Amino acid sequence: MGAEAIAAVLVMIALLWLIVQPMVLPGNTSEQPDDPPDMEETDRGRALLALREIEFDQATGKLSDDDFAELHARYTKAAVTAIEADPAGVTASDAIEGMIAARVATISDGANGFCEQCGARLPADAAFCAMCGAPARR
Amino acid sequence: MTLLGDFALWAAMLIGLWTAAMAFFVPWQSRPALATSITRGAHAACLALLVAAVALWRGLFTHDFNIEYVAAYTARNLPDYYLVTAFWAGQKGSLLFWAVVLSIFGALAQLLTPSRHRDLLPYVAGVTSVVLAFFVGVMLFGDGANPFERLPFTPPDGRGLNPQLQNPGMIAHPPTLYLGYISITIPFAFAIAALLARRLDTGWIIAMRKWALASWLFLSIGITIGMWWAYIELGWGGVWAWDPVENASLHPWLTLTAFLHSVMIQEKRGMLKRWNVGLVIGTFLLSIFGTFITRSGVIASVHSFTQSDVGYFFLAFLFVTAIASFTLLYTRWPALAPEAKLESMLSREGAFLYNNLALVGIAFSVLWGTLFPILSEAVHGTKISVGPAFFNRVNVPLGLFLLLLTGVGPLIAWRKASPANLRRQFIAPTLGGLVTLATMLGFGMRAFYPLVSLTLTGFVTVTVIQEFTRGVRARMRLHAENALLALVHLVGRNRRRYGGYVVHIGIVLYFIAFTGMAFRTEQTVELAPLESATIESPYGHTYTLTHLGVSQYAALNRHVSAATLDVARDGVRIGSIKSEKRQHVDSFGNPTFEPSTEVGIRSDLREDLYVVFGGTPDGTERAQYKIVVNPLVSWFWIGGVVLVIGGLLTMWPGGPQIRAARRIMPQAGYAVPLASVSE
Repeated sequence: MGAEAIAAVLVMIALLWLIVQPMVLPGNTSEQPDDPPDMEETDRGRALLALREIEFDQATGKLSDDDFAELHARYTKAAVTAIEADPAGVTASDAIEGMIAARVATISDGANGFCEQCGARLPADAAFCAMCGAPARR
Repeated sequence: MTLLGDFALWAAMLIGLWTAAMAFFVPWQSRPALATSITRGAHAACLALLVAAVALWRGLFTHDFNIEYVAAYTARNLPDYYLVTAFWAGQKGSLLFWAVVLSIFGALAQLLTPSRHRDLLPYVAGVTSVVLAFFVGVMLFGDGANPFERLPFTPPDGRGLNPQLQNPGMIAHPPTLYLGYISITIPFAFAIAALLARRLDTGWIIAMRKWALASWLFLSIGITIGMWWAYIELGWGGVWAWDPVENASLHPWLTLTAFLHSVMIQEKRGMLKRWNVGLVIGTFLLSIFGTFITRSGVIASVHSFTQSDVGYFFLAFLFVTAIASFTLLYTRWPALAPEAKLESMLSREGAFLYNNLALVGIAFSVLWGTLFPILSEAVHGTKISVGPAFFNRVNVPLGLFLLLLTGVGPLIAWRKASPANLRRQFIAPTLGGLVTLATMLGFGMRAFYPLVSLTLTGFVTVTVIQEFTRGVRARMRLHAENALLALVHLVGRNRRRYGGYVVHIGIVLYFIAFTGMAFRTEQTVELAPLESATIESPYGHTYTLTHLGVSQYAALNRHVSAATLDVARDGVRIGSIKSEKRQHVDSFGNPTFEPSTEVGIRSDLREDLYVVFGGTPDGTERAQYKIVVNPLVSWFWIGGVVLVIGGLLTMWPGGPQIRAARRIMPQAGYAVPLASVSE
């Protein structure tokens, strides 16, 4: 019984210290910098993920060329808007993706072309061929 | 150690109440030290409850029969590994087990959540602390619910563990199911925290996503092991009987499955926010409801704990939590407006909506059937139970519709799909289904539902194969990879999608196994020594079983009567099968509990031969047997393994999310503004 009572007192001290310590020694509760958000947590990330998914859906035959073109243009625009709204969050590799997206967005309603490497049909605003990944040249 | 155990329970409850009070009623947002102190409450409660757990285990292992719980659930001749499982064998111990595990999950949620969600964490600690304080409060204030309660005398030996719980399945079944039930508290805590903090973007979803997957996985494992335990231990020859407690474990699994699909729509499109919060709250309430069913004794079940007033604590908690949670949801309703509209019902989103309706529809029908005895008693004054016929009539069509959607969903693109592309996607899976149908018809199968079920399993299987092959081909084209590398990258970089497809295969295997159960054959016979009985298998085989005799012997903590049958298939001997009646005894040789049965099973991938020894008529050498042929049962267990592999694949850390996150870490050197790069 005596040993149990001592153990109970020791546990109580440990529990109290655990809870009270941040308030009595606030210096030890230094703020850690926030870790970076997942892609789904930013508008830019969500738009880029959507673009990847749209391209993959077309590559696996789930999206028609027309639907691909429409969706690709819409989400490219969304990505550009997100990047313009938050340029501070853009780093080098994102900037490259953004540059691609910006270039794509500046392409007006040009005629559909074909990939020089694999011959796949390219939507009007494609920067790269969704089938083989080669840059689109017009 | 009961003093220490009692002290630890009181400490855990007071810490829980303090943490909740600080989290909900004191403005901590601008006081980081206080916020940290609140989150430390979760760790302190965990520490206190671990002390309580050690105290109870010490009592169990030292045979301290002065502790009522130890005397009620263990005996000196109980093997040591069952002393571990005795912790959760009874009402009191399982309440403590629940609280301990919840406190560990609560502490882990604080440790593992990324720092960018730190403004949710004090609220998360508050919610988990409320639930924890409730469970500990039930132990401290419920009638006879304290596991450290002492007896006025010390019996020389304990009563022992119920023989049905002396089974390897019971080592794993309750803890895994509990882990599923309990871990649902964490997604619920994040949902409530997001509502309280008005952080209703995708952040809370991402913070709790893996917890929801873990809950689902634990529930799946717990339910499957429970099916296995019922099959090998209860001796009625099936895996699922629509027992209220079985149903209670199915409810949260169904709503959580719905959530895991609908949450993808929120992540990708910013839609269904209200529905998703509602599903998380509903899943948590259903897990508490399951606890109420198990512990109140209001509905008779093979799984129930002794009837006690403890269940009504849960009923009160259920109502209070439901009112508080849905009121909070209502107050945040405008902030949960969808960010986009559904572009087309012919889309993955559309398929997921139907999937959610089917899953919630099944959950509702199972809930209705489970509650019917209570409702009928309230209305007519008589308890009327609905049997398996009701559950099967309603849920078989809904389940098959769900299976159809399991195959349809992956074939449709997110956002929208054109009919021409859809036709191309559906060709191979439809052919797969039709070939399966033709094969089954060729084998002479004519029953409607089994034919539909197997046709759909063919359809879904080809869908999954097609998804993998088209994905691999796309990667081979896009990235110039060989097939193996493309497969590894395909799965590795889309773990949720392709892990989900593996889970779908596991579900297909469950459906195949359930379909097999439609063809079970059964007979009851009484045989004299060397007398034989025959039973037809659905595959056309004839099993001949010859009664060899009954042997009686003493084992560790039981007297055993073992009946042995010689088994021949189509006249060719394939071995023997043994089933036992066991009378458990205490260390003085006195009988404890009713006699129990150990079934005999000869199993292969096609079918199980399942024998239950019913006993011997007095003074004779004759033996009564129930003989069952259960086709395809092994596929439940294989399906369970596949499902777990798929679930783990889905949860495995890494993948593009982490790489993407690393990529946008603040970099050394200089940053070039986008505008100048573009020029």
